[in-house]
Amino acid sequence: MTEYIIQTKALEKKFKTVHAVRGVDLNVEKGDIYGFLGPNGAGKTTTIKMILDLVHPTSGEVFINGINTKEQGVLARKGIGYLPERAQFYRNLTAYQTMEFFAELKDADKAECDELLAKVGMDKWRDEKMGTFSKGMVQLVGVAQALIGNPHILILDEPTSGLDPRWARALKDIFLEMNGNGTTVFFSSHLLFEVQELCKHVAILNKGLVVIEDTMHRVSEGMTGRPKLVVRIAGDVNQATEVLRNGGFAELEIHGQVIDVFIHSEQKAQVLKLLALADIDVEDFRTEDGNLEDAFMEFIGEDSSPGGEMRG
Amino acid sequence: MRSWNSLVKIVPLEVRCVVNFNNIKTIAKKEFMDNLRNKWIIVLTLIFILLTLAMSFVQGGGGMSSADITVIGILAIASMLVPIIAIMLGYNTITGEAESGSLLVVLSNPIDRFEVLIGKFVGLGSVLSTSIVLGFGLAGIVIMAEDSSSAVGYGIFMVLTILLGLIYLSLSMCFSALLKRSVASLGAGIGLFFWGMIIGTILMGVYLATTPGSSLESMMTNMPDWIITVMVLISPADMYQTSAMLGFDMTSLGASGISFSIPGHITLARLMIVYAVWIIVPLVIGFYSLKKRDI
Repeated sequence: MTEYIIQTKALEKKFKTVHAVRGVDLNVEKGDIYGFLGPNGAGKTTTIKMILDLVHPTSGEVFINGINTKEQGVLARKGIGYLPERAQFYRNLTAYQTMEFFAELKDADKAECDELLAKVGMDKWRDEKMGTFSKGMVQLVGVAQALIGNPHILILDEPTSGLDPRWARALKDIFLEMNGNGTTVFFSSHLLFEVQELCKHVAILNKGLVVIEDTMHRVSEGMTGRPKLVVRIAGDVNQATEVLRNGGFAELEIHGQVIDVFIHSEQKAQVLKLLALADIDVEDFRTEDGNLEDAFMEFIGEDSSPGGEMRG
Repeated sequence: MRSWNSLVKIVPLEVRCVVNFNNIKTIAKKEFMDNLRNKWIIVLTLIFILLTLAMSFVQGGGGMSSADITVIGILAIASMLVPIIAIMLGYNTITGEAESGSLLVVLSNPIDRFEVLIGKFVGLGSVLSTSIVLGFGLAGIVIMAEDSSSAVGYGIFMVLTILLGLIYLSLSMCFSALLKRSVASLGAGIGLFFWGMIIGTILMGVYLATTPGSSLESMMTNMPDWIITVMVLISPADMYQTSAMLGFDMTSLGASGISFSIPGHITLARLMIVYAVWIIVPLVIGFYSLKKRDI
């Protein structure tokens, strides 16, 4: 049986006016890099906070290393590094004092503090007060803080938001390095490419529900779907669709004068030839290769029903 | 910190297994370092020191004994400034940290929320005590140089002032744990300050307005014991002033025809129980609120 290091069961959270999380089951394997993907407001942060027992679930359970967080929260939180979204720390403490404070809470070796500050490039500002730092600098100290004590789980809520691309890249390398040393990395993002780049497993959350949880590879494959040819017709659209249907292209989507024809990549010319033979004017055409980002946007868009079948 | 470790050893082992004292120490130390450099606290402490020093030089004039005048002066300053310092320290301790996100990081560690609250109370209480000791200390040196006979009374006075501060700290931390937003807990802190300042006066006003009497002076002088008792119970500021008078063995005050005496059943020892209730109850309420809270 697979050993899950983080597991949530039917996790649900109702706030006064919002039903933020509606029964989420997550299964994070030990040693994984797990992407928690979804648009803003999908319930990612609330779910993460419930995993850490910061927000109390309305119903459902969380297990970390098999420990029920509701029953033994303090024990379950041992060895976890966490970075919340857009956290600020204590204005009057220096970067080093902040690190020292968290090292003490984690009962970790304080010698690490300087090493980790250097790792995120903040060693130059070691003795400056946190209140004088830019958002990005605070975020970097936040990352360094999460790495204290060589955690066995890293939980990061939108870790790269607010960072310039260079540091976003550097953080990803740090996460990969940590993962290489056996740390399970769980991070949320609303950016597909970020998750695609790093993760072995992914869960997509939309409107408080997990739409899919699978390996990144299978999710990409499933979402890519088939390529399509998008043609804009000058004349009668109905006539054009009939010609296409009779020609063997049954999968069509019509938007006004535009027809999306789902094809195999070698069929592009065939479609255009068919239309030309029927004397139908094609104003414009382009092909779409089943771009993952588009598929994802469609997936989490207003029209897609959560939990619905995936196309393709 | 050897002193801390020996202090912890007093606590029974069973309690030490449930409560991690190192966590409390870590939180307390953080609060102390962070707030000792808080601009507002520094400014208020300086004002406090200047006013008490000024008051200690005033002694020597008037009919009352010199120490009494100083005490009454410092009493007035402390019962105004100490609640402000305590509320400034306490009002944002949960709401502010929840809003900034730092509380999220703290609570993601292997720490119980109880330890966070107690650690904060100890740390902020230490900042408050430092401020009060500085405020009293310099004036104390000036007074003792003139007349060292009231040293014990002055010491008790300082401890009572720290306890008054702890009441306001406990109350404002309780509001901070109960309320969602920083603005709301600041509002509650301001409300608390004014409530402490005027509740006794309101009670006395109601009494004066509803009781037939010949003159203000006689009514004040003959104020029934129960009014004073209620005032001492519901207003920490009045309790503080009453207990300070008892600390200096003053059981009655007289000025411009009005004399005011403390009922015999109000003793310093009994008032200590009231102090303890005022400090402990808000912390307990604050703890349950923090425990249930979604951060």
